[in-house]
Amino acid sequence: MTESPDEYGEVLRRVLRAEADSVVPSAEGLQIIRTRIEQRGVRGIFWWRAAASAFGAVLVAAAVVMFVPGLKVQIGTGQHIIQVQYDTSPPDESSTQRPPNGVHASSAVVGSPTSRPAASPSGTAPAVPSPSVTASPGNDCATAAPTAVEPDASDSPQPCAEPTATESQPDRTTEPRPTPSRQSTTPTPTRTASATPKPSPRPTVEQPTPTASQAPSDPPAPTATPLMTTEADSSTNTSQE
Amino acid sequence: MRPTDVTTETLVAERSLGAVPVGWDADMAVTALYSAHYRSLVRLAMLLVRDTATAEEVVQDAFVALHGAWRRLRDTDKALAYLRQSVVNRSRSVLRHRAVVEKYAPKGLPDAPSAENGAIGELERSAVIEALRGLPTRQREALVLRYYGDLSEAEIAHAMGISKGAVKSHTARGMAALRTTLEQLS
Repeated sequence: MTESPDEYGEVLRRVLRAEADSVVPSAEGLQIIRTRIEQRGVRGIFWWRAAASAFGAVLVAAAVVMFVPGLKVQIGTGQHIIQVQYDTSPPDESSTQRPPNGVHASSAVVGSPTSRPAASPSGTAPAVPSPSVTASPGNDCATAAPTAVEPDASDSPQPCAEPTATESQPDRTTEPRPTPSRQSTTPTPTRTASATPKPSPRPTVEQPTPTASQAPSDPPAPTATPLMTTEADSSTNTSQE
Repeated sequence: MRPTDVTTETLVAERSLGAVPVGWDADMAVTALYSAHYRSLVRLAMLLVRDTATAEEVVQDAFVALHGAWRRLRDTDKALAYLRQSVVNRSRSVLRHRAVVEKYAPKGLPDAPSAENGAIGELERSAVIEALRGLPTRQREALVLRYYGDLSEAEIAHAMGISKGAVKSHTARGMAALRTTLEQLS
């Protein structure tokens, strides 16, 4: 006795169609559809372009990093910067700012291991090893471009030793090494001929003073300074006693 | 004033126009399908979403989606089925969104009856429409596709994304719910 759902189906059909016929869609439907299609296409192109540009930028950056060896070297030097932090000095002191000849010079020397042997022997034993240093590494004399600037550069070994100890620090900062150094090396012999008699006594006198003053700047200096202080203290104590 | 004459503009009558020639591009297909099915699809959507403007928007979105998916459409003969399914799904989404909005929106006064409702037939028709609107979404979709679209169970199942058995179940339950109201009209 169950009634089929189509018993009232015809009535429902008439009602639904009458309700639907009352709806009159707007005539601008096709135009609206086309406008939406165009907007959608424009948006798609925009996003495709944005994605392609971003991908291209990433690709170029990756290619530069991969195929340019200089960047890898810079990355290696970046690790040296970490070694500079090995010193307990505050991190504010960068390699470009080294005003005094104090302990900072030693920290800079620690940062560049290649220049360490050239500076350390010149500081520890200025009189004896200086000629050997100036003779063997011509680059040291070249780096010590200010050697020619000083008038006392008559003796080839001694002036090379002095400037290496005194002015090796500013050379490492930013001064252009190659051009002035080579020009300075050539004039040095000309000046040596004229200045040899006078400076010979002077460097002997001057050498101890810079070595004494510069010895603390080099690594062995701290060992010497406490000794000096202890001796001074002992002398003072003895004198006081 | 019962609507005795049934309009010939049904989805069944235009079903033959759902086939689009193979060589047509998306623009030509959209234009042809628009001229043949836009009105009926808007009316179908209106019965589902109960709003003409929203129904038009739903159908327009379906056409835009068809244009974008035209190259991926394997069988262009099923363009109408694609549009119908898209309209049903989008109408369902609209109703779901509307239910959420109405849940949190302040409730206003009920709609005042229009002058057309003065006639008895109009009142009875509106009563059926109101009863239809009170049905669950699936039941309403099944009834509208069955009695307005004159679709077969297989086509309804494809449009709704359910099985034929589910179509039968939803149709029977919907008709059972409308029986009281329909008895007054018959």
